[in-house]
Amino acid sequence: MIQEAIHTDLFRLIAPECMTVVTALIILAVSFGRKTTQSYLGPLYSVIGIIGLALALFVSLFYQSTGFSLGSAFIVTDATRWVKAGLLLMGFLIFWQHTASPSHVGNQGEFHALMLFAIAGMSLLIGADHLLMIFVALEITALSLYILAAIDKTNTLATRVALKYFLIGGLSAAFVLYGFSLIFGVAGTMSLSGIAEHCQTNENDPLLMMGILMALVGFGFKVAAAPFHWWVADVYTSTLTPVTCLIASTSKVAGFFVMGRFLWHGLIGAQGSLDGWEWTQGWIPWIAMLAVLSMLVGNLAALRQTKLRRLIGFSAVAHTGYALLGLCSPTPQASASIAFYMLTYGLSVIGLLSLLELTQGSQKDAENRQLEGLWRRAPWLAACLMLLVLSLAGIPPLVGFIAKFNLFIAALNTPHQTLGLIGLVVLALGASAVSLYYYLGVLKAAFCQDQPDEAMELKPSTSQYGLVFTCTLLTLLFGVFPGWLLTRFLEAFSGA
Amino acid sequence: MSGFPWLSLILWMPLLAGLALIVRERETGPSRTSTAWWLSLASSLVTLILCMKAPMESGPSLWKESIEWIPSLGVAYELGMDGMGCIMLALTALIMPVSIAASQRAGYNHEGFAGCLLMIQGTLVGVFTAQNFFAWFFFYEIALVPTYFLVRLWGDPGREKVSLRFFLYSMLGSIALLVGYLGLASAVGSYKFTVLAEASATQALPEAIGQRLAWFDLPVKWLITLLFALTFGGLAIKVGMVPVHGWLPDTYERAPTSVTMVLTGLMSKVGLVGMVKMVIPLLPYVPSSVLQATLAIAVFGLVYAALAAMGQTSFKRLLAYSSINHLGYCLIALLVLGQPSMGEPSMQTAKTFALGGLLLQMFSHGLISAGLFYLTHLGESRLQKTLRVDGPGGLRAIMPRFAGWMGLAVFASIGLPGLSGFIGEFLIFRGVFALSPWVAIGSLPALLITAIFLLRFLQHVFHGKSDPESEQFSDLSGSEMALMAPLFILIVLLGWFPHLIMERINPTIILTIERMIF
Amino acid sequence: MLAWTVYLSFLASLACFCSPASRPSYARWIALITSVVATFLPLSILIFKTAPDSGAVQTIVHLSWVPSLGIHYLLGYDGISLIMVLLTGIAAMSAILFSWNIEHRTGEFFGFLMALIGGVYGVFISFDLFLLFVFYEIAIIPKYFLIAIWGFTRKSYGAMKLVLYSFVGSALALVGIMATFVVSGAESFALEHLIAFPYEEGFQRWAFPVTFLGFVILAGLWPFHTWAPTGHVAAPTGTSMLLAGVVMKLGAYGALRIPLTLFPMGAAMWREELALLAAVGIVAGALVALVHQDFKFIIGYSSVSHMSFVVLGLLATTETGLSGAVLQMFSHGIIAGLLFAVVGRMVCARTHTRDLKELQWMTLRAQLPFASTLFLLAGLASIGLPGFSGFVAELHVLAGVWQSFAWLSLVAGLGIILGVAYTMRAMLTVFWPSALVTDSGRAPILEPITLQEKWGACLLVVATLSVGLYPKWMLDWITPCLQSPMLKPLTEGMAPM
Repeated sequence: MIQEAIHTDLFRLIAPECMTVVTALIILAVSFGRKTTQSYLGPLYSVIGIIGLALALFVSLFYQSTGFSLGSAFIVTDATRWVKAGLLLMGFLIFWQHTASPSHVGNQGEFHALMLFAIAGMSLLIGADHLLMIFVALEITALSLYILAAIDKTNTLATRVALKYFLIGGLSAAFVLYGFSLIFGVAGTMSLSGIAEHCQTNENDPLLMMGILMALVGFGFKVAAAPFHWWVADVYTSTLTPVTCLIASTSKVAGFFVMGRFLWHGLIGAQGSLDGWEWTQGWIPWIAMLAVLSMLVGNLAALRQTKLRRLIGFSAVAHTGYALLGLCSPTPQASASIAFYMLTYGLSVIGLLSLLELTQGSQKDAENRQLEGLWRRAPWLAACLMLLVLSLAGIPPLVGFIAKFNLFIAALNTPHQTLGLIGLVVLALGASAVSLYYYLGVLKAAFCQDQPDEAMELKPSTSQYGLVFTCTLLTLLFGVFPGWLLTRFLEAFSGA
Repeated sequence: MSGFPWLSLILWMPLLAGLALIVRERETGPSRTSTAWWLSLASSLVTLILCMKAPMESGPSLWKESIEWIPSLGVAYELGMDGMGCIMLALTALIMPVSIAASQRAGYNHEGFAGCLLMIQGTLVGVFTAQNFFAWFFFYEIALVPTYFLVRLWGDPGREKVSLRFFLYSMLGSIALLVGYLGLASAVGSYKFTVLAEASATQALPEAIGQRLAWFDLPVKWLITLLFALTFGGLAIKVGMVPVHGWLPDTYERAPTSVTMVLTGLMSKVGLVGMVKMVIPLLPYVPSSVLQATLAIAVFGLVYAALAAMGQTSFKRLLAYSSINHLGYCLIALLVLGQPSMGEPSMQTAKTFALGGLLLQMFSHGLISAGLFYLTHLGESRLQKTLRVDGPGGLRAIMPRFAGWMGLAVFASIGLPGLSGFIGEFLIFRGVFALSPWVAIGSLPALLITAIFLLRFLQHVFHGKSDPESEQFSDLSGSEMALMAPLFILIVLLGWFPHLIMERINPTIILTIERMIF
Repeated sequence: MLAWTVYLSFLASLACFCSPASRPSYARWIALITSVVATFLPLSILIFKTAPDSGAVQTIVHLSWVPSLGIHYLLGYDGISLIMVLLTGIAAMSAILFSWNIEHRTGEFFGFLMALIGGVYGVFISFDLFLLFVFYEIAIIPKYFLIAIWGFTRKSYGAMKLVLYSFVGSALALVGIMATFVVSGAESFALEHLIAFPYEEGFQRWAFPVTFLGFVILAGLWPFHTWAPTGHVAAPTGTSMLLAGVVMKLGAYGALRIPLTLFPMGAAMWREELALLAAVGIVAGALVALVHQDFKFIIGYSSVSHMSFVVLGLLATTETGLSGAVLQMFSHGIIAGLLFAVVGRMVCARTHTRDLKELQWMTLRAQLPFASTLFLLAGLASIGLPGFSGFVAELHVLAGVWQSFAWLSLVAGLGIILGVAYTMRAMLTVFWPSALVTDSGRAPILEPITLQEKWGACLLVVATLSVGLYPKWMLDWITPCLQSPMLKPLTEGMAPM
């Protein structure tokens, strides 16, 4: 039961976010005044960060109760708790990744603190139920990520890319703000439930549609949907691995969740339908179009990539496309399936990026060729690579397959089934077939070619192995026994 | 005696023994009697005993064996001996040992050679005693492999192409037959020959075809024509009917002569036996235009073959074309059975004659052509080269015994009264003339032509110019004559007492014709 | 108990991957022993149990797997599954024997091979559509690596083409499966549950062709067959034996189990058009084989031709036609294995050429008598000579086709004749060339046939002869399944003449 909570319970509701922020402040405090070159500091901050995240995760799972506060600006439900837990788990893994393969950043303290701020922001984003809250959380996340993108001062390309990221991001933030203001103007309230009431009782206002569309621009940028995806390839290539992981996994989870909430919870009267593709009657046709574009652009562009990180970037766009397809369906199964998809995708991507970090070191624009002979150089890593990549491709019995399958079934199982949605599913399947081509290309380099003479020696540490194995294991585990998690998600989303 | 699977014995014993010999692949010494020959002889003796003991009842009820084989198609491994099967088995028993012995004398000492011949003996028993299509087809097809290898490995130069052509033509015929008969069987619902015959007799066949076979609403007549084309055409290739006879002359010529004995004596009869069992039930329903056209082709074919034979110089080729010609008579006899007779007794009698003549001619031609080729082989072994119309002749003075036997065989082939060839031809013509006079008249010239070229050959070989080398040729030895004696004795015997055979096959004939009342 | 075929194969795969690179024989023996044990399981059922009259599915394992999606871990078998499992076992054993000589990355080779085999076993005993699909997809990836790492001509291209076609086919099939699930109320993926739902005609009209095509792409239906010759030629011998022998049958089996069982009305609607494709495939494959100069490609195209026979039999939808299809699946699996074994391992691996003209000079019959006899037997079996399993299978298919589409039986007959022609051509050119050619003295010296190859070959020959000479034992298991309630709507729904 969701009750109006009094302010003393506020703390309990935003406990995870608070803990994250506090941890970040602690790290900043510790780093204040110290020389940044002492090598023990990096791991120290990471450990602090990990402890903080672990506590937040624990609290989120076990000590929270549902409720909302701040004039219904912030909400905690079963769904948000599960997604937040997944988010924090991913944060945990990212921090682990950083301890395992530390990057040589100038200011370690700031680096860690910023990552924690970003995670906190995403966490807030998940719980937001109010337009203003959404915007604030979006900005917290975005600003942290902009800085993180640029933090490696030794890489001039990174600086340029980060600036590009910032500018595009800022532009999309402006769109979001303007869109929100239009919606506020029409609906009269900023709370999502209030907006929902308005949409269900009133006719569809063109001004409202305008607002929705502008907001979608911003969200599209956040989740890397085409045609707002131009930043993806460059950012993935030139950022440090932990930052890439953050953008690729956690940011997308949060972005999708808030988008889903915004659209299905807030704008539920105005969705229109895919029957006849009425562009002015609702926002579903526009989401569908974003989905189609993302699937097509992402897969087709990835086909031509030889640089691994760019390939992962474009494939991320494609995966966004598949998930957007789920947004066209109103059922709780659909929402649950998107959450499951994005969370498991995030897990696989973190594993993959960490693995690439191991094999390529600091060469961010490494090509497929760098992986050559991996089967001989590090057979266990190669096996993990195969499982992670195949999970992204959607091959059973890995989690990528069941996530896609679940999504498609949820989409097909909508009441008032439309041909458009069926067509989207067929397109998604076809796009998956195309994606197999480039994923196999990566595996071909790793398995079929023999190592070149100048290949670097691979000696991953236990910690590094551990991270990659954990991600792979989770991918395999949730692929073979997805039942428990799927049922939990379904229950959580159905209750909301 | 019933209960013991005699038929299976005479089938599988030679077949498996032959296979074993092939696998062993040894050269035997140039001795006259080898393992293979004894085995063949043993099997033949058993066969002959079985044939003699067969009582004169009608229907395939003798020594029946049946083992369920393919239940989903209702196919069983079914063997049984009816009248026709009886005489064909006897023919097999008579010819095969001679063939094997002949091959040994010719220097084909390889055990594989004799093994292949043994296998063929086994499969022939299978074909002649099969009671349903699959057993028939199974043994029919298996026989192709040893035959192919006999020609391919031991034939005269040029054998690669010839053997391949033989195999491909035969397979083409087999597949066409398979496709056609499967259609028939699907219509009738069973693969047994007796069931097919029943369906034909009760006039249920056309309806069944119309009902059970899916076709784009085409009339039943077209379906029947198609089935007829497939089955008759497939078998016609084996019999060597013009125009699908392309494989025959070359194969007969290039194959080792002992193999040709078997080919012409037995394997061509397989096709005819198949026709009697499979095509005759269909004949009453074939549209008359199609029947007349086929008859025309058959008549043309046999005259053409006779003319072609006249132009040959190699005796083996000449005999090959002559063989096509003789079997052509059997074909026309078969086809005229399709003429509507409306139950008129005289027409029925005519059909009886035709069918009787056909069966008798099959038996007789088998004996005669086997004998002819055996003699040719003997002659060639002396001459060390092919016996040719324009080659060395004048052998009567040098090898009087050879000349004598050869003369006997040639006269039998011409159809001289007093020898078995006459009875068969006489009956056929009597029947055909009553049913379809123009066919008989059209075929008459062939008789004349046959007589001409055969006599010409005889004249040349015996009284022609002789080669000085030929002086030292030895005449036929006692054992050589003993081998072919049974054949010739029967030829003469049947010429005077044809009822020996007729009483065996009469029941079959009567039953078949009765079924064709329409 | 049959489920252990799957588990053992996957365990063996893991063991092979982990086996030390310095001791390749560990992997070989693990693979061989596992496959022998796995073959013993269906054999024991066949020998010690009599065929049930009901043809019902015997359940092995039934667990709820993903309740929110109605997916069950449901393994079972009926007569048809049993036959296919047996085929897989026999083919696996001989494939392993014929791959004994692989020295490069042996452990990984057998690891991938066993994973492929495990996936195939899984397909044949799954009775939950999702589970079937999972195993179907699991079988796809090892194929890529087997060809891309150990293959021959254009291995990367061949591997990718094969995998992509398989994947596209399976995606199509998945559309059908998902649609079926949703339309039937989204409760369960178990086959017995889905059969009970009455699908309306409009739904069957599109669901059948989509699902059927999805599966038969993997079976090599014309015109989606081009992956097969390329892939099989590129693959190493043991893999091509499995690919042509068993994996193509996955498509046909899937087509039988899913679209033909669930959508009999749809089948009746689309039968003729699809049968036409199959008939074209028979002749087209045969024609290409007739003119090709590459020995292995000839066998590859002959596989396409024979598999089209299977599809034609399936589409005849009468009991006879379906029996023929299943028989041909088994028969061709064995015979294709034989052919690829001779051509791939015995001849081409030793002579390093696949061109017919070059092979003529190599006096193969004198140097490799075992291989030439074997190819003779395999060729005769492939032609459909009585005594071998191909004859019985083709009989049934032809009889079934006569009952359903009479005119196509002529095309099928033409296909058989062409088969005779190209087989004879290949056999004669390579093993029995004319004397002029062989006396030239240009032949290289070839290694003799190894013991493992002989064992593998004999295994296959015994299998084909056993069905050819006494088909009753196999038909006793197949026929009840075709008469069971599961397939009755299909066989009876055939429009009466």
